[in-house]
Order: sequence, then structure tokens, then C-alpha cells
Amino acid sequence: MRTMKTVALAGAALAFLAWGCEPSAPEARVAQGDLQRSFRVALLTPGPVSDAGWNAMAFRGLQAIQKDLGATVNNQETSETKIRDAMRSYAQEGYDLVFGHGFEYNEPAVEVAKDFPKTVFVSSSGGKTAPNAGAFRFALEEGFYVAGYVSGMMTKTGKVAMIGGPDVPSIRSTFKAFRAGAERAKPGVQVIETFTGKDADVAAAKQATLAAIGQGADFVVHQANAAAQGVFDACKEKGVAAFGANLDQNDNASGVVLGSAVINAEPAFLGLAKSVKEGTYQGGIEVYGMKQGAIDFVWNPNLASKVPAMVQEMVERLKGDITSGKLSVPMDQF
Amino acid sequence: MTAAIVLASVLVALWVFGVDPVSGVSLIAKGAFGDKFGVARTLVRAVPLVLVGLGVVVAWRAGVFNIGGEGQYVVGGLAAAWLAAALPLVGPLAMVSFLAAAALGGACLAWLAGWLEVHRRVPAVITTILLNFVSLQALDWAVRGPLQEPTRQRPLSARLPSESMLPRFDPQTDLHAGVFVAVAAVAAIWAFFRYSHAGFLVRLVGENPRVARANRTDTGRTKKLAMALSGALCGLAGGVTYAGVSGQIGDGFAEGWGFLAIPVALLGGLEAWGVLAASLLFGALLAGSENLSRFSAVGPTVVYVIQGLSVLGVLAAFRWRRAGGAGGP
Repeated sequence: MRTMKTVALAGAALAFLAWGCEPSAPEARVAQGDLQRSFRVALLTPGPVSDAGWNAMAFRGLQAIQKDLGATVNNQETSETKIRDAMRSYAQEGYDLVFGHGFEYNEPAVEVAKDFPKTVFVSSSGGKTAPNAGAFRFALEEGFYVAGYVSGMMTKTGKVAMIGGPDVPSIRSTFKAFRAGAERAKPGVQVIETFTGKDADVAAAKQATLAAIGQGADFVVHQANAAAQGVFDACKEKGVAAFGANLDQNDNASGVVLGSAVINAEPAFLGLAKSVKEGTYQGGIEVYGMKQGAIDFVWNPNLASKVPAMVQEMVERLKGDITSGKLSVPMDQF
Repeated sequence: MTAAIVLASVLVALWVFGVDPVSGVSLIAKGAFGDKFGVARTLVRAVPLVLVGLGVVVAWRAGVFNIGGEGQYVVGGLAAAWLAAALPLVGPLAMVSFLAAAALGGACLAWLAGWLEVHRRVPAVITTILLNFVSLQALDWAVRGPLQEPTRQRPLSARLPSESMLPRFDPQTDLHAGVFVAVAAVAAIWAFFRYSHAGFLVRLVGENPRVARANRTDTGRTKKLAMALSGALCGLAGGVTYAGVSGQIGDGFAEGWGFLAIPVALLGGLEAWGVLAASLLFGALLAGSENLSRFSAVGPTVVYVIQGLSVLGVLAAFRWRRAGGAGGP
């Protein structure tokens, strides 16, 4: 009996330890402002804000809000079943504005907004709104369209690849635009599409990229967020070119990033926070694209010599057409 | 005494993380009981601990070591979510049936482990741990397969309509009616051991199986019953979380309640009311350290460190007192 009890305790302790040892990436966090009644803004991200991509870009927006509006800011990584709880926690703390950085925050935002009329909840993409909840939509598709166009112009094998993390509509939509861009440049181009299903699995991203390159792809674009390094590493190994996404990833140490489809989120975050601070926010969905200066495609200056002048010129013209509204890039609503 | 150890653990954790102890403790206190939100949060955290803790007590009192609270909790949530997907239930009827399905699901899983121990001599310590993994895999599969929300975009089940969720007392606080379920369960388990014949048999089998056998008690049957009841309580905890807090299940649904409840049950002296007190203590600790992690620079790891240190500290103190022979716990 006594041994059994010891075994049971040891088992319990082990199980408890195993559960406690869940790996968690070091998290960048912003310092605390004073706890006086100030304008308070919180940011919820699906992944670590140190990912140099989707989450990092929102974090920059938050830092801009802290700096320019003197707001007390806070951020937390949260996903799936914990989203509502985190939103409620910030609202209970009297936060004025809670950003959820992804379309998956849209539904919880609208729902939690009902219980907390004094807090504004905004998600990055998503289609539902309330008087104190809404979304902004970054038209990253425009950047992906340009990247796709470049890949179509420059591919030698006639095959290009897209490597995604989870198979979600926001990522699907950008891939659709990339495909359209590639086909515009080279009708009949073959576009390989792979989803690893995971957001931060570097090894899976690398495997998927190697497989795509094995099928002949010589240009790879990604939507792998924190796992992007896996894509770049695979490209370096096989000597093919990649595109960066969300943030300017041209300076990635792999040296394979030819250009990046970037979101410049600061103006959008700042503008929204300003309207909330001034009490003029009304809910709704706002689109931020190339026209608003929120989306761009930037070349890697170190590799620009490898890009034919003709391609660079065509890209400039394409960007001009998108900005002027002459060309509208396919975009899913979700 | 326990409170002092917990406080000491908290201070050590704060010191290790380099947080100013005064602001750290005040953040914890505020998060745990600083305002109505804090109190509600503490109680909400305590509810699953109470239920799973009681489940641990029932099994351990019968001499069966149920380490599978986590798995039974998950299966409880799964059963409730499955029922919600299968039948168009709304309102109070829905709430009651979710909880019933959850309890039944947990009971079946734990009964299986009990059956294996009684009839196949496989220790429940091992089967329950292994069944945890089975349950987690089942959850993983279900939220990407049959139970996935209709748009099939996220690994989550469909969200319950708010009319089918356990009512909240105040829409802004988190406290839901599940707190009554927990208190009722404490009273019921206390009465079960004190007044019922079956409860007496469970205690007898756990404390002295030879006497039980000599008195022609079917010890196997009693153990299986205890395991089923234990599993039902753990499953119920999952059902209460599903219908009271999350309204959907997904990858993050198993939050480790099943594991944390084991030290909680031990801390509560394997007594119903003791479990309630220990759960409140840990509920407050969780709510407080979450607040600390959110509003200081230390990050979420501190929650686990504080938890782990407190559990170790309390268990060590128990051990030390017992070894010293000074009265015992």
C-alpha cells in the first residue's frame, strides 16, 4: 500500500511537471506606464511578438500608440479558447481599446463588446461589427499579388510555391492573390500550395518547402509567421529565392529573400487608437491597402542587381495601377 | 500554516523573477480579491479544482489512485460538446443535459480504468495516466473532425449560444452558476462519506481491504463504483467549464486542472470541505498570478512557477511534520 502511494505521488508529480514544462518562447513586453487613469490599450496576438512578422508588426503599432498617444499599453499572447477570457480581463481592468490581431478575434470581440460597452474591441480582419467593435482589414493581397507577379516573370522552371501555416481564410486569400499575380505574368504557371497546419513549427515549414522545391518550384512565398525561418532555410539549402511576408524580411540572414510584401501597420493602429481616444469611433470595417500606404512590396537592395530592370519597371507600374485603383486585386471577404 | 507557506513561495518566485515584492504581492492580491472581478475570477478558478479534487478524494479513499482527472475532464467537455452538436437543446434543459453528459463521459472513462485494475490487475495509476493521452488525442481529433465549427477554419467546436450557457450573475464578471454545482458537490461528497452505506464501504475498502473482504464486501465492485464516481466528478468539471466559461472546446481546453487538483486534494486532507478550502486558496493564487503575469514585466511563466513552488512547499511541510511525528496533519 505504502509503495503504491509513493508510486502514485511520483506519478502525479511527474505528470504535473510534464504539464508545467510546456515550452514558452521568451516574450517581448512593453514596460508599464503609470497606473493613473490614462488611455489604456491592449493587444492580443496569436503568436509571440518576437516573430519578425505578423505579430511583430502589430506590436510596433502598439508601441507607436504608447509613444504618440501616451497610452498605457499591454500585450498578451492568447489563442483559441482563451481569447474571450483575455478580452474580458482587459475590459474588466478598464482598458479603452483591445486589439485582437487576427480574424479569429473578430467574433469574440463582437460578443464581449456587448458586455463591456465602454471598451472598444478591434480585430485585424474579420467581418462582424458592433457599435464598439469592428475590424480593420489589411489588403496584404495587393503585396502578394505583386510578389506573385515577380515570381511569374522570373521563374525558370514555371513552378512557384506558397507555404502556409494554418489553413485559414486570411492566408488563403493572400495565396489566391499571389496565384493571380503569377498567372498574370506567366499564364499556365504551376503554383504549388502547402499548409503545414501549424503556426510555429519551423521544422514542418522547412519540410514543406523542401518538398515544394523538390517538385521544381524556384520561387517560394510564405505565410508561416513564426515558422518562416524554416522556409528561408530550405530555400538557402536548395538555392532558390523566397519572398518575405507581413514585415520587411529582406535582411533575413539566409540571404534568399528577394523582396517582401509588407504591412505598414502603424498608421492604421495609431489612427484607430486616436479615434477611440477622441470618442469618435463608431465600429465598422476599414480597409488599409497600398492606397493608404499600409501595404507595399519592397525589393531587397542587396539582391536588386539580380532582378532585370524590366521586371523592376513592370513592378513599379503594377504598384501604380493598384494604388490608383486601376487594377483591383482579388480579395476574399471573411 | 499553509497560507504562510504559499506566501513564502510567492515571495521566492517574485525574488527569482526580480519583481519588487510589494508591487508583486499587491498585483496578486488585486487579481485574486481586489475587486468584484478578482473575487469572481478566484471563484471561477476554484470551481474545476473543487470538482476534480473531490473526484481524486473519492478514488483515493477507495485505495485507487486516479491520476486521470485531466483525461476525464477533457472527456467530460467532449461529451457535453458532442451533445450540443447532436441535439438542438436550448435553455435550462440544455445546461442540465450538458452537465449530465459530461459526468457520464468522465465516469465511463474512469470506470474503464477501475475495471482494468480489478479484473486485469493493471494499476489504475498507469491506466489513468495513459488514458489522459488518449483523451487529449481524442480532443485533438474531434475539434478537427466531427465537432469542428461549421466554417471549419479553426480547431474549435461551435460556440454555444449564450442562452445555453450557465447564467452569469453580472454580465461583466466571470462568475457563473457552476459555483453552485461545486458547492453542492462538496456537500454531497461529505454526506456520502459520512452517512451513506456505499460511502462507508468505499472508506472500508480503501483503509483495510482485508477486513472488507472478511466481511464479504465485494471490494472490486466498490472500487469500480468509486472510480466511476470519481470520473463523474472530473467529467462534471469539464462540463462546467464548457457550459460556464469557454462555450466551446479546442486545443487549450485541458488546462491542467486534472493535475493541479491532485495536490489540492492532498492539501485538503482528502476531505470534502478541505478540498473546498484548498481550491479557494489555489483559485486565488491562480487568479492573482494571472494578474501579475499580465500587468508586470515577468510574463506568463511566473504563474507556473508560483503554482509549482506552492505545491512543493506545502507537500514538503506535510512530510516534515509527519516525519517529526508532531501530531501529524
